[in-house]
Amino acid sequence: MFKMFRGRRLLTTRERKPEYPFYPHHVIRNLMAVLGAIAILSALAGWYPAPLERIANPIELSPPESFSPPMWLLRPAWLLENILPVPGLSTIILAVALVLCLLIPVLDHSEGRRLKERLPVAIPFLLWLVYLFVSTWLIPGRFLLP
Amino acid sequence: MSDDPRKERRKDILHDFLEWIGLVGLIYGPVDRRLSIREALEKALKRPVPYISWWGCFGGIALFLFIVQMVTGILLMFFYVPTDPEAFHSIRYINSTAPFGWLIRSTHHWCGNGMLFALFIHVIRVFVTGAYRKPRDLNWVIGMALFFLVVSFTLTGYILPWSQTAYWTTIYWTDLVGGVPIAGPWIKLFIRGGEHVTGATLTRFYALHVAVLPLLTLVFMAMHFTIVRKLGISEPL
Repeated sequence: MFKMFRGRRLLTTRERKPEYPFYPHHVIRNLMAVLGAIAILSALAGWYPAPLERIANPIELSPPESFSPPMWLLRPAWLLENILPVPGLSTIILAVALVLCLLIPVLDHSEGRRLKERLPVAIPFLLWLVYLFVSTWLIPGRFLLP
Repeated sequence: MSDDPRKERRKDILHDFLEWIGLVGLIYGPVDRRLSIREALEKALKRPVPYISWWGCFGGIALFLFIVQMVTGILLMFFYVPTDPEAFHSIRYINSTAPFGWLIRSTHHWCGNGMLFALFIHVIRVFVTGAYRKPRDLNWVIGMALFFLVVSFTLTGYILPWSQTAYWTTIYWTDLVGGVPIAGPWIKLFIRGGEHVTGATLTRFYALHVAVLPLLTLVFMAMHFTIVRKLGISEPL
């Protein structure tokens, strides 16, 4: 009763959201999304074919001058390694972050589902996402080379 | 709707006959009569589910791209040789000589990136909507395992062209794994197949990329979809 006076909804009194049959509503929507993805990826495959550089040379002892990890998810590690003074710390930070991501349902003790009701979990996760975005897309790896 | 039962019966017979002489009916009809697959499918498709926005489609996109990856991957396997230095030459052959080879390889390349992107958006959507909470907590863990498997696909697939960038990228990330305290050096030795990145690493990654990881992914996907089916799609906020 107290919660109702404060203007909050009780879980039991919450009205059910409308439901739709899986077919055709969701099937058509998913199909359209998949067709969109096909169109984008076909265009990319046609206009920007997968690159093939020169053959690997295991005899060379140091990487080419312009080398930086080109892949997603390796750039964040690359950046951490260049920022942190202790070697190997970046690996530990990444491993801990991955384990924490896995354990989000255990760590989240909040009652509501909305983001503002889950701030202790939401803020670190969103900060992590911002870091991933910035390190992957906004900082070219070659600038980090000594 | 006609009220005449004889007319209805005749219509049904005609419908059954046309279906039976059709190619699909000839092959599939006897199977369906025994297993009632169509009935089960109709029941599943008509099941009511909550409203899903466009953001909810990224899981389906990732699944579709996984199928594309399997098809293009099998086509690439027809020409690819997973040894040093034939790997590079076979990729060059695929790119220049094999019919539509460049297109198949490019599709494999871009769909791999697309799958990772779609999964990334899917994970963010599940987090933002709080769909990972009980009773779907186990599905979050399985989903994250799937995400790591897709990342492993990317990492093991990257070395396969045996190019200079692929070689140094593999050295870089295996060194990163080697930096993990205690178990790191052992894991690094195991995944490289020795102290250094060599042809043995290439063959090992190929085996992981085409056999071990797809099998694991299929098992985890089956678990993921079974739980979604059992618990239903989470309600929107």
